[in-house]
Amino acid sequence: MTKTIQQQPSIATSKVSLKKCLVFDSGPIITLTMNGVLWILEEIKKQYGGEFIIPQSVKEELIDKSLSSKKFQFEAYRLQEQIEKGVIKVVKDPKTIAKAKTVLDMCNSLLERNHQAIRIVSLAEVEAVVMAKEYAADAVVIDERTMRKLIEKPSEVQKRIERKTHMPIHMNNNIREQLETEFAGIQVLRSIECILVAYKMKLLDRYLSNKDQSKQGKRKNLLSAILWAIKLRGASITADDINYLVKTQA
Amino acid sequence: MPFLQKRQAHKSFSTASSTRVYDELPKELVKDLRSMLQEAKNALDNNAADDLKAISNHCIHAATTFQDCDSSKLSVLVYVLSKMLQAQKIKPHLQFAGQTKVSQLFAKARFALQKNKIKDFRSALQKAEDVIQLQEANYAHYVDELLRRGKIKKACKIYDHGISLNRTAEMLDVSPWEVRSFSKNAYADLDGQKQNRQEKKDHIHSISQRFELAKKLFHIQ
Repeated sequence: MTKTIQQQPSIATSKVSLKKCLVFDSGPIITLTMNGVLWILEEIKKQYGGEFIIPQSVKEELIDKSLSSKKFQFEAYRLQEQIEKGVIKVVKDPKTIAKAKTVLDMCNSLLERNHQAIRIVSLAEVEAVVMAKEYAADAVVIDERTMRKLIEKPSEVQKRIERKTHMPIHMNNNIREQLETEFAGIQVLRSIECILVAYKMKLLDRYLSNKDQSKQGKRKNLLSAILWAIKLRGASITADDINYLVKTQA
Repeated sequence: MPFLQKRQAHKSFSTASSTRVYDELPKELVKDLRSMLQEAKNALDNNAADDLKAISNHCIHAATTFQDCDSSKLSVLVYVLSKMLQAQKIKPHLQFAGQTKVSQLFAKARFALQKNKIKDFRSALQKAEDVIQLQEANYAHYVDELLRRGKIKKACKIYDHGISLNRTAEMLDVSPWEVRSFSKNAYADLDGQKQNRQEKKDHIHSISQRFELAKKLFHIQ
């Protein structure tokens, strides 16, 4: 499906056709930036042969708010560079925003405690997923556990909150069915898959010396190191997952 | 400067504020808050830093489900108090001059809740925050940093409870970058749960499936 939308890079506005795209949420971009591997997006995008897009709300969260603070200002500049180069395109689509607000209301009415709805997700997260659906994206790239589980298995969100708060949480089944329809067909990837793709493409071999690049053991160590780095900076992956991935994919 | 979240209305969006500012607190929330204030007061009077930390974590349960500004604020305040008491033990020269005052304000807040005087309750909490802020000079300008970290830590805890990362950042008025950088590996899907054989199989299957999809999309063998 081709959709023509108003694209809004940081400098100019132009129209672009999206035959093939991946929609990114803020989480994977934060993960890649904080681990110094944001640069892989430019390379894997060439391999992908489509566009990497983010909704305007994600851009606002990642860049606009961060530019005004000292702590993550440099990260915001690095990300802005990727947008200026066209590696990541920012999309502002009023129809998507309107739809996202409806879906957001649904998500935030799904779970209740004592007839009080629990707001579990924010607009930026939902907008990325809705955009993926509206634009028939190949997948939405999202690290954030709660939103991912809402797409794949909403009951796990309920169970988690119940377990952690030790309080009974009620799920509204009508809304669950509506959300299932909304999220049907959406595929989910995470930043880990982007890193694995980069690894398979031997992009990460730059971190090894020339003589080590041919040694499988060294490459395995490198993959393990990167996966542990992103895990320890908040990515949702367990030690067992890392061991499994290094064993089977390295 | 007040450190906690201001109400941030999303434009033309129905659930307006990032945290709820109840005009009338739900009964269950009142019960929770009263109990936590009493426990915090007792812990403060007994210099029990570890108890304060536990109470702060308990406040998170209420903050997660009610998502109100009061639980969030109390959680951060109690966390900061626990840290200040801990610091005092290690460095005796640090003096928390307002300890008794904060204890009295917690009692006042609790009493106001009992009488359903929400305004007085919030005023007492705000005064407690002000007293803590005044310790800045005594604590070698550590308090501001404590308050900032307290917000981020509590946001991480709420994230661990199952609320999304951006939502928790909204609630505590911190950056998602900060929540991500402070959230530990414990917040993985499985969170240390014991899995049965089928669950493990399903989990491994989902990881494999995801990477197979990535390989297909990126034309990789």
